[in-house]
Amino acid sequence: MDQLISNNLIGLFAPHSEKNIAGILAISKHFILHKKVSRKQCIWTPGVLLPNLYFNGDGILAEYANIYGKLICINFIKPFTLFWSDASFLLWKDTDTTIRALTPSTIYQLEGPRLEKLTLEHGMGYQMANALTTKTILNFRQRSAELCSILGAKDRLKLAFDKDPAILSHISRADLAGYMNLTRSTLFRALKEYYHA
Amino acid sequence: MRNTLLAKLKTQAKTLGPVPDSALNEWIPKLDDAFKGPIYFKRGDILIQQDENSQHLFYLLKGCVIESRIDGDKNMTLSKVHSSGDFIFSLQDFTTGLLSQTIFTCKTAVSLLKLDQKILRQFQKMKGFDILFFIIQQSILGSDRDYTFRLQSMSPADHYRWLKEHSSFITENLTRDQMAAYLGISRATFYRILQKRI
Repeated sequence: MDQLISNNLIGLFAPHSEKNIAGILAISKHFILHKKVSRKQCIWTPGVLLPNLYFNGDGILAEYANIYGKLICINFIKPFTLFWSDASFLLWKDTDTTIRALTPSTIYQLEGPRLEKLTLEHGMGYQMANALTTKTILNFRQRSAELCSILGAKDRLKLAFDKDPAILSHISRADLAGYMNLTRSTLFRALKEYYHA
Repeated sequence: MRNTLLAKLKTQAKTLGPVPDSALNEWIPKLDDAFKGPIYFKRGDILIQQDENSQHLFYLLKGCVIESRIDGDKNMTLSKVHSSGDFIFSLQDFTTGLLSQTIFTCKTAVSLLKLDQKILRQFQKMKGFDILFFIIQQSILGSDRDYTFRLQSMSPADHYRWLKEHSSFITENLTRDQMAAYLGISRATFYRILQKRI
Protein backbone atom coordinates (compact mmCIF):
# COMPACT_ATOMS: atom_id res chain seq x y z
CA MET A 1 0.00 0.00 0.00
CA ASP A 2 2.80 2.46 0.82
CA GLN A 3 4.05 2.09 -2.77
CA LEU A 4 0.64 3.25 -4.05
CA ILE A 5 0.63 6.11 -1.57
CA SER A 6 4.13 7.27 -2.48
CA ASN A 7 3.26 7.14 -6.21
CA ASN A 8 0.23 9.31 -5.50
CA LEU A 9 2.25 11.79 -3.47
CA ILE A 10 4.98 11.99 -6.08
CA GLY A 11 2.31 12.64 -8.74
CA LEU A 12 0.72 15.41 -6.66
CA PHE A 13 3.85 16.91 -5.27
CA ALA A 14 6.20 16.64 -8.28
CA PRO A 15 9.25 16.74 -5.99
CA HIS A 16 12.37 18.19 -7.50
CA SER A 17 14.93 17.10 -4.94
CA GLU A 18 16.17 13.84 -3.47
CA LYS A 19 15.46 15.25 -0.02
CA ASN A 20 11.78 15.58 -0.86
CA ILE A 21 11.58 12.11 -2.39
CA ALA A 22 13.09 10.67 0.79
CA GLY A 23 10.49 12.63 2.77
CA ILE A 24 7.65 11.27 0.65
CA LEU A 25 8.84 7.69 1.08
CA ALA A 26 8.97 8.19 4.85
CA ILE A 27 5.52 9.79 4.88
CA SER A 28 4.05 6.93 2.82
CA LYS A 29 5.31 4.37 5.33
CA HIS A 30 3.56 6.07 8.23
CA PHE A 31 0.00 5.76 6.93
CA ILE A 32 -1.99 3.41 9.14
CA LEU A 33 -5.31 1.62 8.72
CA HIS A 34 -8.05 4.05 9.77
CA LYS A 35 -11.16 1.98 9.14
CA LYS A 36 -12.98 -0.28 6.76
CA VAL A 37 -16.15 1.37 5.54
CA SER A 38 -19.27 -0.22 4.14
CA ARG A 39 -21.56 1.42 1.60
CA LYS A 40 -23.06 4.73 2.83
CA GLN A 41 -20.81 4.81 5.91
CA CYS A 42 -19.22 8.19 6.70
CA ILE A 43 -15.50 8.84 6.96
CA TRP A 44 -16.05 12.29 8.40
CA THR A 45 -18.91 14.67 9.09
CA PRO A 46 -18.93 18.48 9.51
CA GLY A 47 -17.67 20.26 12.61
CA VAL A 48 -14.51 18.30 13.45
CA LEU A 49 -10.89 19.43 13.16
CA LEU A 50 -9.21 16.74 11.04
CA PRO A 51 -5.94 18.05 9.60
CA ASN A 52 -5.11 14.57 8.33
CA LEU A 53 -4.13 13.06 5.03
CA TYR A 54 -6.17 10.02 3.95
CA PHE A 55 -5.73 7.33 1.36
CA ASN A 56 -8.71 5.57 -0.16
CA GLY A 57 -8.46 1.83 -0.83
CA ASP A 58 -10.40 0.11 -3.59
CA GLY A 59 -13.79 1.77 -3.05
CA ILE A 60 -15.42 4.93 -4.34
CA LEU A 61 -16.21 7.83 -2.00
CA ALA A 62 -18.36 10.91 -2.44
CA GLU A 63 -18.04 14.27 -0.68
CA TYR A 64 -21.14 16.28 0.20
CA ALA A 65 -21.47 19.87 1.37
CA ASN A 66 -24.40 21.70 2.82
CA ILE A 67 -24.26 24.89 0.78
CA TYR A 68 -26.80 27.63 1.35
CA GLY A 69 -29.20 25.04 2.76
CA LYS A 70 -28.75 22.43 0.01
CA LEU A 71 -26.88 19.15 0.51
CA ILE A 72 -24.91 18.73 -2.68
CA CYS A 73 -22.44 16.14 -3.92
CA ILE A 74 -19.32 18.18 -4.68
CA ASN A 75 -16.60 15.65 -5.33
CA PHE A 76 -15.77 12.00 -5.90
CA ILE A 77 -12.75 10.16 -4.56
CA LYS A 78 -11.50 7.50 -6.95
CA PRO A 79 -10.03 4.20 -5.76
CA PHE A 80 -6.39 4.30 -4.63
CA THR A 81 -6.12 8.06 -4.31
CA LEU A 82 -5.21 10.47 -1.55
CA PHE A 83 -7.85 12.79 -0.15
CA TRP A 84 -8.17 15.41 2.55
CA SER A 85 -10.61 17.90 3.98
CA ASP A 86 -9.93 21.23 2.26
CA ALA A 87 -11.33 23.09 5.25
CA SER A 88 -9.39 21.15 7.88
CA PHE A 89 -6.17 20.09 6.19
CA LEU A 90 -5.52 23.23 4.14
CA LEU A 91 -7.48 25.99 5.84
CA TRP A 92 -7.19 24.69 9.41
CA LYS A 93 -10.82 25.04 10.23
CA ASP A 94 -13.38 22.44 11.24
CA THR A 95 -14.55 20.12 8.48
CA ASP A 96 -17.51 21.52 6.54
CA THR A 97 -18.30 18.50 4.39
CA THR A 98 -19.29 14.86 4.75
CA ILE A 99 -17.41 12.03 3.07
CA ARG A 100 -19.38 8.87 2.52
CA ALA A 101 -18.56 5.55 0.86
CA LEU A 102 -20.45 4.80 -2.34
CA THR A 103 -18.89 1.34 -2.38
CA PRO A 104 -17.09 -0.51 0.45
CA SER A 105 -13.51 0.60 0.95
CA THR A 106 -10.53 0.61 3.29
CA ILE A 107 -9.30 3.96 4.52
CA TYR A 108 -5.75 4.70 5.64
CA GLN A 109 -4.70 7.88 7.41
CA LEU A 110 -1.73 9.91 8.52
CA GLU A 111 -2.55 12.31 11.33
CA GLY A 112 -1.66 15.99 10.91
CA PRO A 113 0.85 16.30 13.80
CA ARG A 114 2.68 13.18 12.59
CA LEU A 115 2.81 14.56 9.04
CA GLU A 116 4.08 17.89 10.32
CA LYS A 117 6.84 16.13 12.26
CA LEU A 118 7.87 14.10 9.23
CA THR A 119 7.99 17.11 6.91
CA LEU A 120 10.06 18.94 9.53
CA GLU A 121 12.47 16.02 9.89
CA HIS A 122 12.99 15.89 6.14
CA GLY A 123 13.30 19.65 5.70
CA MET A 124 10.26 19.84 3.46
CA GLY A 125 8.78 22.91 5.15
CA TYR A 126 5.46 23.92 3.63
CA GLN A 127 6.30 22.64 0.16
CA MET A 128 3.88 19.75 0.38
CA ALA A 129 1.13 21.95 1.82
CA ASN A 130 1.73 24.36 -1.06
CA ALA A 131 1.63 21.61 -3.68
CA LEU A 132 -1.61 20.16 -2.31
CA THR A 133 -3.17 23.63 -2.03
CA THR A 134 -2.24 24.44 -5.62
CA LYS A 135 -3.71 21.13 -6.75
CA THR A 136 -6.93 21.88 -4.84
CA ILE A 137 -7.18 25.39 -6.30
CA LEU A 138 -6.70 24.05 -9.82
CA ASN A 139 -9.38 21.39 -9.16
CA PHE A 140 -11.83 24.08 -8.05
CA ARG A 141 -11.01 26.17 -11.12
CA GLN A 142 -11.62 23.19 -13.37
CA ARG A 143 -14.93 22.49 -11.61
CA SER A 144 -16.06 26.09 -11.91
CA ALA A 145 -15.10 26.07 -15.62
CA GLU A 146 -17.20 22.92 -16.08
CA LEU A 147 -20.11 24.48 -14.21
CA CYS A 148 -19.82 27.67 -16.26
CA SER A 149 -19.71 25.80 -19.53
CA ILE A 150 -22.74 26.81 -21.56
CA LEU A 151 -23.01 23.37 -23.15
CA GLY A 152 -26.45 21.79 -23.07
CA ALA A 153 -27.32 19.29 -20.35
CA LYS A 154 -26.80 16.29 -22.68
CA ASP A 155 -23.30 17.42 -23.69
CA ARG A 156 -22.38 18.14 -20.09
CA LEU A 157 -23.59 14.69 -19.12
CA LYS A 158 -21.54 13.14 -21.91
CA LEU A 159 -18.44 14.98 -20.72
CA ALA A 160 -19.01 13.80 -17.16
CA PHE A 161 -19.55 10.18 -18.24
CA ASP A 162 -16.46 10.28 -20.47
CA LYS A 163 -14.42 11.58 -17.55
CA ASP A 164 -15.58 9.24 -14.77
CA PRO A 165 -17.71 6.43 -16.22
CA ALA A 166 -17.11 3.98 -13.35
CA ILE A 167 -17.90 6.51 -10.66
CA LEU A 168 -21.07 7.93 -12.14
CA SER A 169 -22.65 4.50 -12.38
CA HIS A 170 -22.54 4.28 -8.57
CA ILE A 171 -24.25 7.51 -7.66
CA SER A 172 -27.92 8.27 -7.31
CA ARG A 173 -29.70 10.46 -9.85
CA ALA A 174 -30.28 13.08 -7.13
CA ASP A 175 -26.55 13.25 -6.37
CA LEU A 176 -25.70 13.44 -10.04
CA ALA A 177 -28.19 16.29 -10.55
CA GLY A 178 -26.61 18.16 -7.62
CA TYR A 179 -23.08 17.53 -8.86
CA MET A 180 -23.93 18.91 -12.30
CA ASN A 181 -26.18 21.68 -10.98
CA LEU A 182 -29.14 20.45 -13.04
CA THR A 183 -32.69 19.98 -11.88
CA ARG A 184 -33.76 16.36 -11.62
CA SER A 185 -36.17 16.71 -14.53
CA THR A 186 -33.46 18.23 -16.76
CA LEU A 187 -31.12 15.42 -15.79
CA PHE A 188 -33.75 12.75 -16.59
CA ARG A 189 -34.35 14.31 -20.01
CA ALA A 190 -30.59 14.48 -20.65
CA LEU A 191 -30.11 10.85 -19.56
CA LYS A 192 -32.90 9.73 -21.84
CA GLU A 193 -31.35 11.62 -24.78
CA TYR A 194 -27.88 10.33 -23.87
CA TYR A 195 -28.92 6.66 -23.81
CA HIS A 196 -30.95 7.00 -27.00
CA ALA A 197 -28.21 8.81 -28.91
CA MET B 1 -1.25 52.08 1.53
CA ARG B 2 1.23 49.27 1.82
CA ASN B 3 0.12 48.82 5.41
CA THR B 4 -2.92 47.05 3.98
CA LEU B 5 -0.60 44.35 2.61
CA LEU B 6 0.98 43.81 6.01
CA ALA B 7 -2.39 43.79 7.72
CA LYS B 8 -3.73 41.27 5.21
CA LEU B 9 -0.82 38.89 5.71
CA LYS B 10 -0.96 39.20 9.49
CA THR B 11 -4.71 38.66 9.61
CA GLN B 12 -4.51 35.65 7.33
CA ALA B 13 -1.54 34.27 9.28
CA LYS B 14 -3.52 34.41 12.54
CA THR B 15 -5.75 31.65 11.19
CA LEU B 16 -2.70 29.42 10.81
CA GLY B 17 -2.28 27.49 14.02
CA PRO B 18 1.11 25.81 13.62
CA VAL B 19 2.95 28.60 11.79
CA PRO B 20 5.92 29.76 13.88
CA ASP B 21 5.83 33.48 14.69
CA SER B 22 9.55 33.74 14.00
CA ALA B 23 9.03 32.84 10.33
CA LEU B 24 6.33 35.47 9.94
CA ASN B 25 8.27 38.12 11.83
CA GLU B 26 11.25 37.51 9.57
CA TRP B 27 9.40 37.30 6.27
CA ILE B 28 6.66 39.90 6.45
CA PRO B 29 9.09 42.89 6.62
CA LYS B 30 11.21 41.31 3.83
CA LEU B 31 8.18 40.97 1.65
CA ASP B 32 7.03 44.46 2.49
CA ASP B 33 10.40 45.79 1.41
CA ALA B 34 10.42 43.83 -1.85
CA PHE B 35 6.97 44.91 -3.06
CA LYS B 36 7.36 48.05 -5.18
CA GLY B 37 4.70 50.63 -5.74
CA PRO B 38 2.03 51.75 -5.74
CA ILE B 39 1.88 51.32 -9.52
CA TYR B 40 -1.11 52.71 -11.38
CA PHE B 41 -2.99 51.21 -14.33
CA LYS B 42 -5.84 52.57 -16.42
CA ARG B 43 -9.14 50.82 -17.11
CA GLY B 44 -8.60 48.31 -19.92
CA ASP B 45 -4.86 47.85 -19.29
CA ILE B 46 -3.60 44.27 -19.34
CA LEU B 47 -1.63 43.03 -16.34
CA ILE B 48 -0.80 39.58 -17.71
CA GLN B 49 -1.41 38.43 -21.28
CA GLN B 50 -2.66 35.00 -22.29
CA ASP B 51 0.41 32.85 -23.19
CA GLU B 52 2.72 35.30 -21.40
CA ASN B 53 5.49 33.98 -19.21
CA SER B 54 4.76 36.14 -16.16
CA GLN B 55 5.57 35.15 -12.62
CA HIS B 56 5.26 38.56 -10.98
CA LEU B 57 3.22 38.70 -7.81
CA PHE B 58 0.80 41.62 -7.48
CA TYR B 59 -1.10 42.87 -4.47
CA LEU B 60 -4.18 44.82 -5.47
CA LEU B 61 -4.61 47.98 -3.40
CA LYS B 62 -7.56 49.47 -5.24
CA GLY B 63 -9.68 48.60 -8.25
CA CYS B 64 -10.99 45.54 -10.03
CA VAL B 65 -9.12 43.04 -12.23
CA ILE B 66 -10.71 40.17 -14.13
CA GLU B 67 -9.04 36.91 -15.08
CA SER B 68 -10.55 35.48 -18.24
CA ARG B 69 -9.87 33.11 -21.08
CA ILE B 70 -11.07 32.97 -24.65
CA ASP B 71 -11.16 29.47 -26.14
CA GLY B 72 -10.80 28.41 -29.79
CA ASP B 73 -14.53 28.96 -30.39
CA LYS B 74 -14.24 32.50 -29.00
CA ASN B 75 -16.24 31.57 -25.91
CA MET B 76 -15.21 33.50 -22.82
CA THR B 77 -14.75 31.90 -19.44
CA LEU B 78 -14.23 34.23 -16.53
CA SER B 79 -12.38 32.39 -13.83
CA LYS B 80 -11.88 35.11 -11.28
CA VAL B 81 -12.74 38.69 -10.36
CA HIS B 82 -10.11 40.29 -8.13
CA SER B 83 -10.77 43.26 -5.87
CA SER B 84 -8.73 45.27 -3.37
CA GLY B 85 -6.87 43.09 -0.90
CA ASP B 86 -6.34 40.22 -3.36
CA PHE B 87 -3.03 38.74 -4.45
CA ILE B 88 -2.84 38.36 -8.22
CA PHE B 89 -0.52 36.10 -10.15
CA SER B 90 -0.68 33.52 -12.89
CA LEU B 91 -1.17 30.39 -10.81
CA GLN B 92 -0.61 28.18 -13.84
CA ASP B 93 2.71 29.80 -14.73
CA PHE B 94 3.86 30.18 -11.16
CA THR B 95 3.29 26.58 -10.11
CA THR B 96 3.84 24.59 -13.29
CA GLY B 97 6.08 26.82 -15.38
CA LEU B 98 3.53 26.63 -18.22
CA LEU B 99 2.51 29.86 -19.92
CA SER B 100 -0.45 31.75 -18.52
CA GLN B 101 -3.71 30.42 -19.91
CA THR B 102 -5.68 33.42 -18.76
CA ILE B 103 -5.58 37.15 -19.39
CA PHE B 104 -5.69 39.65 -16.50
CA THR B 105 -7.50 42.87 -17.44
CA CYS B 106 -8.07 45.99 -15.33
CA LYS B 107 -11.80 46.70 -15.23
CA THR B 108 -11.31 50.00 -13.42
CA ALA B 109 -8.40 52.28 -12.66
CA VAL B 110 -6.12 50.13 -10.54
CA SER B 111 -3.35 50.70 -8.04
CA LEU B 112 -1.20 47.82 -6.92
CA LEU B 113 2.07 46.70 -5.42
CA LYS B 114 4.35 44.50 -7.50
CA LEU B 115 6.90 41.91 -6.47
CA ASP B 116 9.20 41.33 -9.42
CA GLN B 117 9.53 37.74 -10.58
CA LYS B 118 13.34 37.79 -10.28
CA ILE B 119 13.14 38.65 -6.59
CA LEU B 120 10.31 36.19 -6.13
CA ARG B 121 12.41 33.38 -7.60
CA GLN B 122 15.22 34.26 -5.17
CA PHE B 123 12.75 34.23 -2.30
CA GLN B 124 11.45 30.83 -3.34
CA LYS B 125 14.90 29.37 -2.86
CA MET B 126 15.15 30.81 0.66
CA LYS B 127 14.10 28.99 3.79
CA GLY B 128 10.77 30.05 5.23
CA PHE B 129 9.24 31.73 2.19
CA ASP B 130 7.03 28.68 1.58
CA ILE B 131 5.05 29.64 4.71
CA LEU B 132 4.22 33.03 3.26
CA PHE B 133 3.29 31.49 -0.04
CA PHE B 134 1.02 29.04 1.78
CA ILE B 135 -0.77 31.96 3.44
CA ILE B 136 -1.28 33.61 0.04
CA GLN B 137 -2.57 30.38 -1.46
CA GLN B 138 -4.95 29.85 1.44
CA SER B 139 -6.71 33.12 0.70
CA ILE B 140 -7.00 32.17 -2.99
CA LEU B 141 -8.33 28.71 -2.14
CA GLY B 142 -10.98 30.16 0.18
CA SER B 143 -12.40 32.46 -2.48
CA ASP B 144 -12.21 29.90 -5.31
CA ARG B 145 -13.99 27.35 -3.15
CA ASP B 146 -16.78 29.81 -2.30
CA TYR B 147 -17.29 30.68 -5.99
CA THR B 148 -17.48 27.01 -7.06
CA PHE B 149 -19.93 26.24 -4.25
CA ARG B 150 -22.13 29.16 -5.29
CA LEU B 151 -22.09 27.99 -8.92
CA GLN B 152 -23.10 24.53 -7.81
CA SER B 153 -25.82 25.45 -5.36
CA MET B 154 -27.50 28.59 -6.68
CA SER B 155 -29.59 29.23 -9.74
CA PRO B 156 -28.02 31.94 -11.97
CA ALA B 157 -30.73 34.41 -10.90
CA ASP B 158 -30.11 33.70 -7.19
CA HIS B 159 -26.36 33.89 -7.77
CA TYR B 160 -26.72 37.29 -9.45
CA ARG B 161 -28.90 38.52 -6.57
CA TRP B 162 -26.32 37.21 -4.09
CA LEU B 163 -23.50 39.02 -5.92
CA LYS B 164 -25.44 42.29 -5.96
CA GLU B 165 -25.85 42.01 -2.22
CA HIS B 166 -22.43 40.66 -1.19
CA SER B 167 -19.95 41.52 -3.97
CA SER B 168 -21.41 44.54 -5.71
CA PHE B 169 -18.01 45.46 -7.22
CA ILE B 170 -18.56 42.48 -9.54
CA THR B 171 -22.03 43.43 -10.74
CA GLU B 172 -21.01 47.08 -11.05
CA ASN B 173 -17.81 46.54 -13.06
CA LEU B 174 -18.45 43.61 -15.38
CA THR B 175 -20.04 44.01 -18.79
CA ARG B 176 -23.16 41.98 -19.48
CA ASP B 177 -21.20 39.46 -21.53
CA GLN B 178 -18.67 39.06 -18.75
CA MET B 179 -21.41 38.79 -16.15
CA ALA B 180 -23.10 36.04 -18.17
CA ALA B 181 -19.77 34.17 -18.40
CA TYR B 182 -19.22 34.56 -14.66
CA LEU B 183 -22.66 33.11 -13.92
CA GLY B 184 -22.17 30.33 -16.47
CA ILE B 185 -25.11 31.23 -18.69
CA SER B 186 -25.64 32.58 -22.18
CA ARG B 187 -26.03 36.29 -22.85
CA ALA B 188 -29.70 35.76 -23.76
CA THR B 189 -30.42 34.01 -20.45
CA PHE B 190 -28.68 36.80 -18.55
CA TYR B 191 -30.80 39.41 -20.36
CA ARG B 192 -33.92 37.53 -19.35
CA ILE B 193 -32.76 37.62 -15.72
CA LEU B 194 -32.18 41.38 -15.99
CA GLN B 195 -35.63 41.89 -17.52
CA LYS B 196 -37.16 40.35 -14.44
CA ARG B 197 -35.64 43.34 -12.56
CA ILE B 198 -33.90 41.38 -9.86
